[in-house]
Amino acid sequence: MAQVRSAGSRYASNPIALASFMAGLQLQPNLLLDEQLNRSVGASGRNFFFSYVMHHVLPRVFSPSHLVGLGGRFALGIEGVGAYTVTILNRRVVTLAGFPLDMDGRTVTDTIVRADAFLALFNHALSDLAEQTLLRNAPAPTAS
Amino acid sequence: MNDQNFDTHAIGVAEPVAETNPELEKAARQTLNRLSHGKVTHSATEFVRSRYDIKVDVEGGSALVFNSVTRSLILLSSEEAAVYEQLGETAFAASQIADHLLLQALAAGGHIVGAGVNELASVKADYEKRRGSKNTLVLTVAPTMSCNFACGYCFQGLLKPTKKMGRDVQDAILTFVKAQKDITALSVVWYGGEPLMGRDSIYRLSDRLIAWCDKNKISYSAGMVSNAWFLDAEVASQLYARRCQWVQVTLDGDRDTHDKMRPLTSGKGTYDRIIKNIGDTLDNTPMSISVRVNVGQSNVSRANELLDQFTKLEFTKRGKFYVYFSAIEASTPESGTAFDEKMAKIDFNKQVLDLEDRARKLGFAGIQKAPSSYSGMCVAASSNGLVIAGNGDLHKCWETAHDPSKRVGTVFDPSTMEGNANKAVWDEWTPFDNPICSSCKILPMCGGHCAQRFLYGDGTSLPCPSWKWNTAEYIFSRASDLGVVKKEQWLPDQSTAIAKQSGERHSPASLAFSQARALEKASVVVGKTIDKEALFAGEVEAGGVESDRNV
Repeated sequence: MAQVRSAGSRYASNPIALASFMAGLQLQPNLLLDEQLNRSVGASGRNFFFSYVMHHVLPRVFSPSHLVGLGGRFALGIEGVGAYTVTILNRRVVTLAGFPLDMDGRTVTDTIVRADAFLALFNHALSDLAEQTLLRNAPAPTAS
Repeated sequence: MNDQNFDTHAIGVAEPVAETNPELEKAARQTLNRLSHGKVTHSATEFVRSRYDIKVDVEGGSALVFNSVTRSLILLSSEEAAVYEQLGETAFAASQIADHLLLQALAAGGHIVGAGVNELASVKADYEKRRGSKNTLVLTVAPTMSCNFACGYCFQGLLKPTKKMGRDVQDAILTFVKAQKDITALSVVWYGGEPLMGRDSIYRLSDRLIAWCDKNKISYSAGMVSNAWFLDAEVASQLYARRCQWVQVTLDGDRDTHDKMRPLTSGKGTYDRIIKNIGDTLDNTPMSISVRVNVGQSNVSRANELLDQFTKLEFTKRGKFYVYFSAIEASTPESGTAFDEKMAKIDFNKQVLDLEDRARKLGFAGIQKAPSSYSGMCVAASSNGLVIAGNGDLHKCWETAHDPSKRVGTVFDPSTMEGNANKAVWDEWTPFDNPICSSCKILPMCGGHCAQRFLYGDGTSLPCPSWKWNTAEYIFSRASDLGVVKKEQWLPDQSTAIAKQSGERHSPASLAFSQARALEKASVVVGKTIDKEALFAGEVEAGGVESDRNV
């Protein structure tokens, strides 16, 4: 994420906003058991992986209070894939397709990120989750 | 992004479940395994560009990079493309790519691999594993070789036997399936001749096989290749009830063109009835209809009229309906007018690109995508795949089922396959034995594509799939449909015919080399010399029952 921030607008149109958003992700170890997520990585269908992550995974792992802190809504575009609005609805996080509109009917975008950058960030987070899960589940050393 | 630069607080990892959880541990290891090629750490020393990367330059200096192992497709900016190009063919250190996110993206997509990785060996191991898998039994069953059509280019010839599969053959097939102890799935393709001329056999055999499979928790699925003359709503419903999920039907152009190329044996036209039956099948069952359009010299210019007709009939709104194009090829000596109709691969692929593009726009095909497995993993290549002719003869390939001299055994005594020279040749053929396939960049999704062309071809019908001939076009088309590039960004000099991104092409000499190698290895297996003349003449059967029946 530090690399994304320092790269200016190369990977994301607003890297600070993206970093603020990503700080709300709270990945739980049981995410590793998600069969659909593992299958979708290899899916050759149109953007199935991104769609699954944004609509099905993100609402489960994003902190509602953090989203409230961001204004209750975040408009994220993934270049070449689609637009998503992550919002609070009845104290739950949901992801809607498309960007929101302001009072004047103009599209609101908080940040647009390159698809490969999004994928790299997500995979890195998943990889860290897996490593830390293994570390924390490792048996305690026995006394000599 | 390596560990030193990655801010772990940016993306939180919540506290894990307190107890040790073996399932979770296993999932964590599998995740790390899957992502490990994307994890760039300081301990990784050197990398190389994947030998299966295919680059297509795009206007403005950008480049699409596709990897045929992972099927990853990425778009590099002009700066990133320059960095990628500078990596060259030799090993490089991770530090040579200053942009860590680019490094991560390349590694995650398999575009760069560890310098010590032998990708060819890895692909070969994967291919052999899939080829040798015993979990799924794939049977192509021809209830009869008889056909009511007289297509001039048919590779089975025009003089077809008329006998239908008897109960004895059906029972032998059932016995054969019951003897396969390790299978978890049975996949049946009904074939011919015209299989619906023997539909009583299909109904009875389906009922018995389905009952056996359900009893033993074996997954059963079926499909059919049919001329659709008999495929009315009643027959379609009967087939669907017997788990036939798809039917492939051939239509070779508009009415006039099709009726010239695919008439009844009486000479009368068949187009109108086929169209009606397709519509009735789509309206009355969930079966998918896949229309194959055989394209040759005389009908390539009329294929668009057929697409117009399908649009007018709203077939895609009425059910699962797809269209694809295939070149007419003279794959056997019996192929009749195919020898005149066939087009050179380059010409065919140039014409078919436009047709495929139009088919996609009209909704008859999805966006271009790479095969999910080896397109060459057919019944002939699979060790657990067989073709069963109406008289019980066992074959390895659809294109030899009409020729008793090329059988590999009989279903009445499957042990006849052991030591059978024809079978040994099929088993010993592999794409990894010839340098053209071994060096081809689409090998991980092709696997040689058509073993029959290597073993029994005359050297003029090349085995490669359309991805070989349209590599760059397909990659660009997929990227364009995904909105990653615009059509105007296509560079004509990137045409596969010019740039040959996937590598060298086969020739009669390379096919002959591959055939000779398979014969040499098969000779060792059966303990006697098998030469090309004997193989084609069918004099090399070792043991087994001589068949004097030609059904």
